[in-house]
Amino acid sequence: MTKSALDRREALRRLGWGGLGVAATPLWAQALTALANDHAHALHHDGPAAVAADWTPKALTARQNDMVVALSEMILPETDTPGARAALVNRFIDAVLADADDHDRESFLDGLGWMDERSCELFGDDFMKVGAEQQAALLTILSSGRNKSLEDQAGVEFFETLKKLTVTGYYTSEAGMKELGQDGLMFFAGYDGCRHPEHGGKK
Amino acid sequence: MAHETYDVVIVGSGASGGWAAMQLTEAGLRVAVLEAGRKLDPAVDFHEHALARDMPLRGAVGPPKAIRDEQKIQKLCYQCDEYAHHLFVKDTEHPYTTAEGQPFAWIRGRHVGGKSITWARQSYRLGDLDFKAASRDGFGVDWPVGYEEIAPYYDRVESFIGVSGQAEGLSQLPDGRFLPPMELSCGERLLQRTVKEKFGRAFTIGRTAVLTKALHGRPACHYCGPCGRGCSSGSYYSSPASTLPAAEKTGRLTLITNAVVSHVELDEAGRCRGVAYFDRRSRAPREAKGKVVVLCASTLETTRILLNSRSDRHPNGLANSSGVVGHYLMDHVMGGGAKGTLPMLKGVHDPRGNRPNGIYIPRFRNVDGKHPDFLRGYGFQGSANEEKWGHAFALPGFGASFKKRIHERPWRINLGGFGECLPRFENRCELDPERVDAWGIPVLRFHVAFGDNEKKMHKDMTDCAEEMLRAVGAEEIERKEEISQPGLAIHEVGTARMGLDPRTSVVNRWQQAHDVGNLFLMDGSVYPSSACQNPTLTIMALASRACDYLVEQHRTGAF
Repeated sequence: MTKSALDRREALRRLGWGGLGVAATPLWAQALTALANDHAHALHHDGPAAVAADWTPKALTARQNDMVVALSEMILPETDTPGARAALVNRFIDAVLADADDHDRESFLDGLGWMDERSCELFGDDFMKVGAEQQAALLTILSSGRNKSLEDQAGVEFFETLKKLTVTGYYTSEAGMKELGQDGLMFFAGYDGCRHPEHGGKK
Repeated sequence: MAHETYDVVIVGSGASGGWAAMQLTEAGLRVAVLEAGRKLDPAVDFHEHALARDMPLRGAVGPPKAIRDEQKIQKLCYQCDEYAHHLFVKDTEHPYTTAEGQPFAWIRGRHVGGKSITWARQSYRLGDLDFKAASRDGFGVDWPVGYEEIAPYYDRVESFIGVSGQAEGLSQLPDGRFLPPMELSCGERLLQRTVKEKFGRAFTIGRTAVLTKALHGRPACHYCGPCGRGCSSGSYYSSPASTLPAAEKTGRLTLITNAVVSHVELDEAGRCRGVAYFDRRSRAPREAKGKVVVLCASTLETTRILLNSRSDRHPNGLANSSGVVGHYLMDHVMGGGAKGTLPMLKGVHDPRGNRPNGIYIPRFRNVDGKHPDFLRGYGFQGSANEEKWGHAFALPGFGASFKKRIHERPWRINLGGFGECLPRFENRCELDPERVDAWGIPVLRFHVAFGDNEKKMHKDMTDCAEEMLRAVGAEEIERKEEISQPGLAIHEVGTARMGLDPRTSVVNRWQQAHDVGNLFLMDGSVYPSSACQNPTLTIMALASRACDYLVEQHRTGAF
């Protein structure tokens, strides 16, 4: 699949991402928002994404879904803890895309297209068909925070959005919370505060 | 019951309506409370214990599409998210208009409890620095009451609703009747030391209407965290968890839900007869009759009702012989501040428990000295806490090493100012001559903009916040340069101010309309100046004082 240069410029122009980035919260809210991520999974059923066996994507095609699975797993791979694939991050991303405004959804899907297009230019084939080393090479260009050539700008912005969604999907999943030591408990006797005299806290 | 004439009809069931209902029924009066919305069911409507993964969009991307288009303004409020959007009105049903180039955000909740369900619970007393501000600097008018008169009512309200906090002995921020304070995090301890030692400024844990001990049958907070989604245990003050049940217990309360009030009805003698309302669902017109009408509809809804109570006798709206109804609209100026990270706390973990509270740096401008650039002052609210995973968005790279680095969790520190907004005649709302809401009631049209004083104060907030963060050793400091849109502090006050002179104010020092003896306003509309403290506690204390007066008048047969 190859797009014309005009399409690419159009994609670049349309990259707004406003609706897909995680909502910016005012400074006062940030602490509380962070607090809200810490809750008791013991009291909760698994999210709908985790239990649906016969899941089909709503916004992504099967091919796009495969690509999102692969890309999210490259961002947060299985290590000593599960990766994005096992945490079904693709299902979260599909849900967000299905709910997104048309412009934001199309921008994201254009971004997936851009990945294929760039992969073709650099390596002669679609992203999913080139080798792992080549895939990683393209992601390195997009994720380093450097080399933001105009040529790659659309891809860089797409990748930033994908990364935000992957991180959000993973660290709100049971596996991700567990990795950060969050058991989701939501009944506490209090908040102990600082216990370090060197910070000015009480013993 | 439908034809009963109540002793008092209260419009609004929020923080002050709930309080007035409790105090008046306990004094033996028969009271009807009219609420425009429905009764909430905590089991269904409150999602404070939901995990992100219980929500289809993980609570991460704002309200879902199905309602996003209906809440274009409400979603500007950070609380109006996937968990809690149903605690805010639909803008499509509740429109209003603004003057060209003067955006104004009007955030509302129509349900039993009003914004006491979603409020941020910060509860600070005003002092004479605020009540008598005009005498000190010459701008505007003094309040017709002083701290000494209000203090017993602050005591009364705090003792009943429960406010946790630390006494500090500050003249600009009088101490209250506090439940035990919540504790500071490591980052906040560091900042506290710096702010006190290097700047000579006060610094205290937020004073918040959250119970740190059980009180009047309400359990203490269990530190789950996201109060703004409702509290199933009623551990912060909301009228449905606290004052309304007390009112119900008297047997003298009638709560009428889904009652969208359009205007106050007068009798032939020009006194209030009751209020006209529409049933929210059927839109059938109804009337609730009362010997006294108390408007607790929230600042701007109260003013809208007054303006819409037009008649031959009151062509400019009820209680408006002064012409100031709708004028002197204020909202705290926000947006100034700074944020950064605290590298010296790397590896230090925040203790368990989700403290639903922040820190407060009380006003330090124009307390003793005189600032060259602006009048009045501001306080900082903020917090320092260990990030969970949000920092990963900005980390470069991907893969196993990226995943590993996410575990190096930074400490974030944030300061944001809430500043006094000067009362200016030209900041106003009026009835829009053309638009009506879903019930055919004329909507408000706003003409509001921050002035030079607010802009200079905003810049000073950012300069001071940056300076304090630098002094504590913060890194990656970001200055907050953008001034808030008026309305977004959701501290809208004024538009029917209290005062001694009927020519320049709407209600007297007892919050009784100068023009109509059996009409009282008991919400933020009566503020003559905004101070910089969050207004709800003061609104309730004033309401309590006004209720004492109302009861006394009732006893002597005035109504």
